[in-house]
Amino acid sequence: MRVAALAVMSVVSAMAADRTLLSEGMPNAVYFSADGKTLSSNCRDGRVRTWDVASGKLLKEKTVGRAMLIAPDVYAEQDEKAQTIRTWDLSADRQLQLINGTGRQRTAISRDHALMAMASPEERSVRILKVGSAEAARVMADGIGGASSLVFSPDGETLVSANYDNDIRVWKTKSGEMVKKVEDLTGAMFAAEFTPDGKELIMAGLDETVYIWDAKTFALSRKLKGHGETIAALAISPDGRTLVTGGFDVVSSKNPVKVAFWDLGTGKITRTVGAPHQVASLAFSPDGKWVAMTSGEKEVSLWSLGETGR
Amino acid sequence: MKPSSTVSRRAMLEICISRGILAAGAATAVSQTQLLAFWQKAEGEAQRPTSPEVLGPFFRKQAPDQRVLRAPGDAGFPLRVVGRVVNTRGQLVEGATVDMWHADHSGRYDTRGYRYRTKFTPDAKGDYAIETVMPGHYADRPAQHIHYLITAPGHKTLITQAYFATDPFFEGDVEKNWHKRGIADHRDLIMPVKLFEGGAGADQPAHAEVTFDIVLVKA
Repeated sequence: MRVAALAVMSVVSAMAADRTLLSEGMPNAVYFSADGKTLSSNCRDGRVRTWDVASGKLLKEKTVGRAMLIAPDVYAEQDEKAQTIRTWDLSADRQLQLINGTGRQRTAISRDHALMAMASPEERSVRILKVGSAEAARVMADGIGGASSLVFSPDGETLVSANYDNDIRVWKTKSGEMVKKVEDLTGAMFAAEFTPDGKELIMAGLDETVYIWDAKTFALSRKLKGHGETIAALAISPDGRTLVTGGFDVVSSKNPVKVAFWDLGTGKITRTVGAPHQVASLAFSPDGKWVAMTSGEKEVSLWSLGETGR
Repeated sequence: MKPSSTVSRRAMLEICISRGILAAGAATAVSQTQLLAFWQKAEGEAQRPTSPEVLGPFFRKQAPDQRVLRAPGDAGFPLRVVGRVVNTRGQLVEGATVDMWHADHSGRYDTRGYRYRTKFTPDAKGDYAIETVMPGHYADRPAQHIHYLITAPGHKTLITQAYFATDPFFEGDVEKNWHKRGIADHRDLIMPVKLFEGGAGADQPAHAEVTFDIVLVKA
């Protein structure tokens, strides 16, 4: 018994965050840059901060208002009074798109930055826009609760919306045709990401379960249990072999939670570490050697996974 | 009610037709006096649609139909929630289903099962009654509330929440504090609470009671 407890402790201490990038104002979504050298997070104090990964030094602080990073180097800035959403290229400091006449929306951008999607809980719809064009290319009916996750496939051909009403809808982005509706889940999916090869879609949320879908047929291929709490965030390693899930305590976002590392080959958790508060976001570096996490008021944590990236 | 002089004949006709008091085909045959009487009847019967609220992250589909949500020994003050589901003319809505869910006394939603969750159909008169406990407070949304999702054929799906005027969150002054911290979006969703004393001779144990009527809008 004692030996087992010691073993658990050593795993946890080995996984203590290698670096904590001190921030203010509640860091939220987190992304590495494409070259992996910098890490950015939008904070709830209205700023996007960028750090150097190697030194942990704060490189840049940009005041953006109410904004959310939606891809590496892209953030969406929402102005509810003016009813606008603007998307920006963070490093070039260049506006990509201005959309007028919008209410509260969840926003996503395709990997090639050619398409944007916006989900409106008021209109109960999802719109697809071509970046650079103000007109909606497609308007699709969504569920009644608003999108809890909105994600493009890596090739931009497919858009997936998970709704707070528990249903998932999958559309072809070119035609707007709904190709799949999943109606048998009994909890909202708060996190969704396609595997890097685009072959699978991984989702998790209220019901503490990781769902792995075939990205061609959207048939459920696997269900992984073991995180043991509602899952708020997930990230997949660039080699597609490791999944990391971050928790959410349903009584308070300020209660401590877990971060679980999974071997996607075996479907088993390999390590579990603690996070001070609800995990807002997780990201792998492009070389797979680092995992970044935002959790709590002031910290962005970085874990080094070593040379193997596992 | 607006003075009739400011409402056009066309607007009055539209209101009367939309509420089913006047058939569309009969509109041209109605005198101004008759129309005014019909319109006043329509306005008098009109019910204000229940204000909407957000769905929130904790909704779970497929809740069982249960009218007694509290189990013996559950912590929390017993609460009875009653009400009816009607349309904007105050009429019974056929085929309505109501999802209701809330946090337990400690502020925790059941995310693994269906404690304090129900999906039911109101009775033949549109009435419902649910026995539960006062929802607890939780840090991220510190006003007690009950979530509702109501669907009915031919009507717009309504997502809303009921709050409690007795909630310490409102500091004893709902008029002043109802929008505190932006939690409740509409004053009309903060409901008065009746308190019943228990004890010897009482029909029921001590409990609170809230009436929450639901007024749906036609699709």
